[in-house]
Amino acid sequence: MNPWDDFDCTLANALSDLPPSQETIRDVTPWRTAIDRIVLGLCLTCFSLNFLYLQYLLPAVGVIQTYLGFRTLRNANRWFRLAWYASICKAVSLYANLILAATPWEPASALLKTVLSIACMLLLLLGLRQGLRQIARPFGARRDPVLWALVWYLVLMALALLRPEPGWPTFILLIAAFVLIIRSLCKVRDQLETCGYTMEAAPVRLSAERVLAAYLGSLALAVLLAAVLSCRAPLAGAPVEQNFDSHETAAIRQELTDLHLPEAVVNALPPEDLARLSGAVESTEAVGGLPLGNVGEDEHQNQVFALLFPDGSVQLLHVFSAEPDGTIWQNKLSLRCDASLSEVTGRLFYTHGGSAMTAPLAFEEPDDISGIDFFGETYQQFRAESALFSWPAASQDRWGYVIARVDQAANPKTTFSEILTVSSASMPRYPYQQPTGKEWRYGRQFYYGNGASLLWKADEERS
Amino acid sequence: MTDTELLAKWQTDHDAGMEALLAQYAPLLRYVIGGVLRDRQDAEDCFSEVSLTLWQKLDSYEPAKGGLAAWLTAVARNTALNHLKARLRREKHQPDPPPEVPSPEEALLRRERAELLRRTVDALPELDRMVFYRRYYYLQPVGRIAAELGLSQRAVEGRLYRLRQRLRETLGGDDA
Repeated sequence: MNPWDDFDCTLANALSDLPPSQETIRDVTPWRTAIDRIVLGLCLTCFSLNFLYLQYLLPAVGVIQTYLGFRTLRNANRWFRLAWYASICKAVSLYANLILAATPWEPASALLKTVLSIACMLLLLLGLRQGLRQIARPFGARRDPVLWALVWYLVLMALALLRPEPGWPTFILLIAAFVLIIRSLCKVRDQLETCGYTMEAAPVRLSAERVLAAYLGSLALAVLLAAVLSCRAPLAGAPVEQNFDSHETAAIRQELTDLHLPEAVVNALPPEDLARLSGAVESTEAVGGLPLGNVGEDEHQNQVFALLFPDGSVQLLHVFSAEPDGTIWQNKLSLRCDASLSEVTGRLFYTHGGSAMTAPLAFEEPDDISGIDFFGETYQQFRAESALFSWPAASQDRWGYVIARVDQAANPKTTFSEILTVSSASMPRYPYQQPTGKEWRYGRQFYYGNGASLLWKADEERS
Repeated sequence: MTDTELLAKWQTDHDAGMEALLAQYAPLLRYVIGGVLRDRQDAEDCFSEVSLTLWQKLDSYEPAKGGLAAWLTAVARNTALNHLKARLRREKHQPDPPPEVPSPEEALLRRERAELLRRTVDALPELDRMVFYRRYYYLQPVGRIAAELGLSQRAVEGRLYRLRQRLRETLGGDDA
């Protein structure tokens, strides 16, 4: 900064007759802005409003306001410095958690995450309390609202652990207590206005606005990136191999074709799946198929076959096709059957860049799927074998199959199996969610694919 | 203790009243003086001078015209500024200037310019106005302004530069 020139001196002299307003004089202190930020930060982080994404936005703004407040006060005493460190931990931990929430990955330990969060908050409140006491001691201020804030926070944590749904009376009591604490904290802020002048504000390299913009901007970008990347379940696609069949595999293919399985499907089966289906003596095609959504019109219709083996075991073969312009985001294929299934495998086929490609389906642990009707009511619930996948962009001729062994039919006469291909919403969602049964609503556009179900009559016909 | 209680105490017992007033407002007075005078000894001397001024002038304070804090700020600021000017003159071995007695025309012109400055400053955005008063009323160094407002030094320097340009354009040249 250049030394003062005549113009600066003239301005300074002129202001002797033009004192600033009362409000300006009140605001010229190293204390007020910092403590206001801390109080605002505490208000935003202690409560969460679970709508319009406010449960993520407000704490993000809150932790950074708290950090900025303690950043100014950090040189005042060691307690404020401790609180400043705690606010950094809190801001970093929230940053990481908000990004993780956009991905399918869970933190390594949920307990560690909770303990860290509570420890940061307690350290922060402890630092604030002791820091205020140290400043106020020479001036004889007696109020101690931060002690009550500490007690309030501990009660809140205890309630969260012991009674997750405490009910309205407790909730209203907690809100009222919090409002009183904040009110008391504001009074202390005003009382300590005088001693605030003794403090020396710590210098900063980045303006508060820039820190706030950098934190929130980079967080929004990282969350968006994580959500987009997490909303794809890439396939381990490989070109379809054009090997010549051995006599043995050619014989199996002929056997399956003779059992009226579609020739195109039989020809696409790799040797390991052919081996599984080898020896089938009888096949029954789906009866009473219930087409939902847009069923593909190519040669691979949505079909279900029950293959009967000499030892009485049964394997299901589901063949399904997908819309050519279906989503490239995450899809969830769910196979449900009212008998227990095992050895569930599957494969996808598509053409990409003119090449015929194939990829295995990776089935996860069975999960629960709910069907929800127009009025939001759950009308059915079932367990299903599920696999997540995403079609490559610009791929065509999408189809696939799933093979499963039926272990034990609850009632062979009425056993049925159905494959549901549920796509996620067209855009990534926050927080991360797999496509769930909640999305599987009758008539919704994102439901597509195979609704063909099998009223499996193999046992009945056999008997 | 409220300002009214402080003043009542002063009215009944000057010693006790001044003691209470300084107990409450000494940090503010030192803060204002410290912005103008960076030398610790200078600031301490000035604080004594301000205390003496308060003894002499506290009776002239009119609550209807503004808060006690604003009045004390003005007393501390003007005393410190005079202290600084006197020290600079001593350093340059310059004699004290004769008391300035403006002519009626000069006084009128000065009032008009002061009014223009007030309007210009009132029209500034809040943060700019705060930076302006801290720099030209409180005479604070850029580093302190930056730290207390949570800004970087460069940001404050940039704002001050733009402010000066604007004021020069509005007020005209080197005269305010």
